[in-house]
Amino acid sequence: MAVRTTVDIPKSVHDNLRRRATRSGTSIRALIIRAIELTYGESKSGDYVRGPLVTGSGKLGPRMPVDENPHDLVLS
Amino acid sequence: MTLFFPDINVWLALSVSSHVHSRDAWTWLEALSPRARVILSRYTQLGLLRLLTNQAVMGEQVLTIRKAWIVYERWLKDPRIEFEAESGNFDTTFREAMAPLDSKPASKWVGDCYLLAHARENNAVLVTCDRALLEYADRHGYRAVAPA
Repeated sequence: MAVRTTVDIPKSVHDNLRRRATRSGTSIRALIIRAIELTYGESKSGDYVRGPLVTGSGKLGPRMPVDENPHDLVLS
Repeated sequence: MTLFFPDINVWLALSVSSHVHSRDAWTWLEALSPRARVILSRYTQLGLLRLLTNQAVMGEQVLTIRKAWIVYERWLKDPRIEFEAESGNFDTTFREAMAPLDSKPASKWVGDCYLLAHARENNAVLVTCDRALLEYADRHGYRAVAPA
């Protein structure tokens, strides 16, 4: 769920954000959220996954994808 | 910090040891810098869960839904991995990604363009084994790499 909020920021900061958003093909909103998360977000602790989680030796199915994403299976 | 956005097939390769690209996918993941982050979207979450539980895909290694969720949740416990929901502006970016295909009946590209749009919305690099998708990304100014 998103919460709408309004803040006043210096014009120079806004101009800089707009330029960066245009240059990187993203939005000002995405840049602000990313910056806030990086600065104030809780650091995530946990264990690194160190290898595949499904390690069986059984034969895979005929529709196991090789290169392309099987969108037809995802959306069917 | 660099964000990477693996597509569904790369998540499958990372998750299933006998996937043809599993070794390449793991070489890529292990080579990431400590500050790099890897993101999941609702679509790649859905795709991973769907494919892990699909007999035609997983064959004798097919998972139950409960076990597929365990795999997904284990990924999310990894400090490198984060879930990124769509932003409110997503439709515009999605539409822009598909604009070059406006005159074509290109159903496969709907899913692929979703992936490109999500990568762009998050300023992330798409990770895919799909050569055609890599070429499309390069031609239209999206950042994309193959795992290796």
